[in-house]
Amino acid sequence: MTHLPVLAVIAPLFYAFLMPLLEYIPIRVRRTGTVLFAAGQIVLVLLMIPQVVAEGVIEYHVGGWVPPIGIVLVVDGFSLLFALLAAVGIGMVILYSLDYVDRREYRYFVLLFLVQTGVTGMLLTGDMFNLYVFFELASMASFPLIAFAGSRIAVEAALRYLVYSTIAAAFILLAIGLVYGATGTLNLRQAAVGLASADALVRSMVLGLLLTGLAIKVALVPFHVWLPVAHSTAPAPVSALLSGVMLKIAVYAIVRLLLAFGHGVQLARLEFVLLNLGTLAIVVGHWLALGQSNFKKTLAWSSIAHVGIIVTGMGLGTVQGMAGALFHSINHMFMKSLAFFAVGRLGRDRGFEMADMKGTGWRTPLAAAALIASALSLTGLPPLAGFIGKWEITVETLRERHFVHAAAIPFGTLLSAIYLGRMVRVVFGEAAPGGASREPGGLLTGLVFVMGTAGCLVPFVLWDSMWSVVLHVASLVFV
Amino acid sequence: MAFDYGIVTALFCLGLYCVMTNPNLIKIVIGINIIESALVLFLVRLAASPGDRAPIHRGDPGMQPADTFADPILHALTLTQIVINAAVTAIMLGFVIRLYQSYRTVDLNEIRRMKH
Repeated sequence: MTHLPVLAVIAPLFYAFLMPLLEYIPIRVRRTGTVLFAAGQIVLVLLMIPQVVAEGVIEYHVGGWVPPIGIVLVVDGFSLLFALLAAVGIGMVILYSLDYVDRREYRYFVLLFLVQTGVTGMLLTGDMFNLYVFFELASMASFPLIAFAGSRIAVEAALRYLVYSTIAAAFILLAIGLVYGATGTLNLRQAAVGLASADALVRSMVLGLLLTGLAIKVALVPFHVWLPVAHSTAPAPVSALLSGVMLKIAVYAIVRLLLAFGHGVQLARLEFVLLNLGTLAIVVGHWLALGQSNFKKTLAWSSIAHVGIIVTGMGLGTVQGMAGALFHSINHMFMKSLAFFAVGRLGRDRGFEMADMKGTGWRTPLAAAALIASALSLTGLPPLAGFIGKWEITVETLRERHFVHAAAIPFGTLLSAIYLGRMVRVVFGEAAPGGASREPGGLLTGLVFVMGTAGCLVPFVLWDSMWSVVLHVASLVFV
Repeated sequence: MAFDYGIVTALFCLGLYCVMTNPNLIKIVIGINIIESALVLFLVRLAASPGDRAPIHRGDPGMQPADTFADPILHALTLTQIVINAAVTAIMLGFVIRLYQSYRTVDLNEIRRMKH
């Protein structure tokens, strides 16, 4: 039996508690070590691919205890896809943070690796209570990261996120308790099967509670209030982490809990709700992004809209729709992270208001180039990745004859072209007083920009092969 | 039985109401704790029905074959939930202290007024 799944979960935990000790070794060695940890996590996930491709699923019994009693880690194509996304996303965040965070460094990395533990554990577990605990671990480690700068606005944002997130978690735990009461198991697959024959009232309550809890976690529109402040006041790499990875694992939870438990009679009604909430999020998110003068706030509102696109794709209830949602999750991770990295580099010294950002593009050309790439990709211009998800989901929505919902995506694209274009124009506006002397960016920051830009370009080149993989993974969801 | 779950629901809603309507940060923390208590009560109530024995299988001379046992898995979940609750409360109070240090108040309305 391969031990890779459990290694992928405990390795970041090990790094997290190693970080304070690394404080005592020379800084160059420490930085190299941190980079290796990030790369090692990606390698661990990659090593699982051959077995998952060959056997379809890896089941790992933690401590050798067999299921009804023991805890089981389940790695199938779907969780592996998200695990890879998370490993790459957090890897980029780690590389970027090495240049960005300059005080209380090891505390920051302890929290970051704890987030990684929670995220990976949540994606690889086959047990719904574990999923809840790991989700809480990831969220809990991300609150201090948001408040890391220590400014009172950041602390307030983190507190608000904490309150919302904890209430959401309470709803989810209530639902998990009900499921356990009705089926007598915590195993996700057995619970989904058992719930199909459970009392209709219990099922409706479970789905209602899960829908409320997860809607708060992914910031669907009536429950989105915490997101813009939290994502915009956090340090730039943490914003990238929140938008790129934390929202995606909430999407994963929607598929694993909500859609799995809703399987059968109520699925159609559930998908109808998701479809409409998603479309509402697209319109509201893009519309309000238009009115923001703070760059990071604009990007945060745009995240709400893009999660809306993903949820709309999932709400279609077809394999193509789900595949589009998965593809867009991957692409959004790359392009939104890249956008936050670029904006973080550009406005690091002076701030992220439009006035502060004016002309910064001339001083740090690489960051400005990355901003252009991510803006084009977020808008959805064809040679870049953002186009694919939007295109596939729009086509599938039309095929399913939801014409109003299909119209929302191009409408949102139009709005995003306006506000993203405005961002690029401001960055290359007339230079602010103080001269246009060039600043050298860090090596790692440059590397992250290259990785992110590659992430925006490669999916378009490999469209066909990636699409067939994603399609296969999406078909697993509907078994 | 419905009565027990009624109490859980009432506590949960009370906590939610407390969080949503109070401008006082400390009361929000208390509200969250009420919600978490409702969850703990829910899990404990789910684990056992009246007449259940403690799930200890050995060393209990009075045990009958027909005895039913409380569910130890739910007890384990309850413990985990209490730990999570403690962590959430600690972080939350940390943030509240930080805000109090910079604003000298824990009232959200006043904090909002001071920001402008």
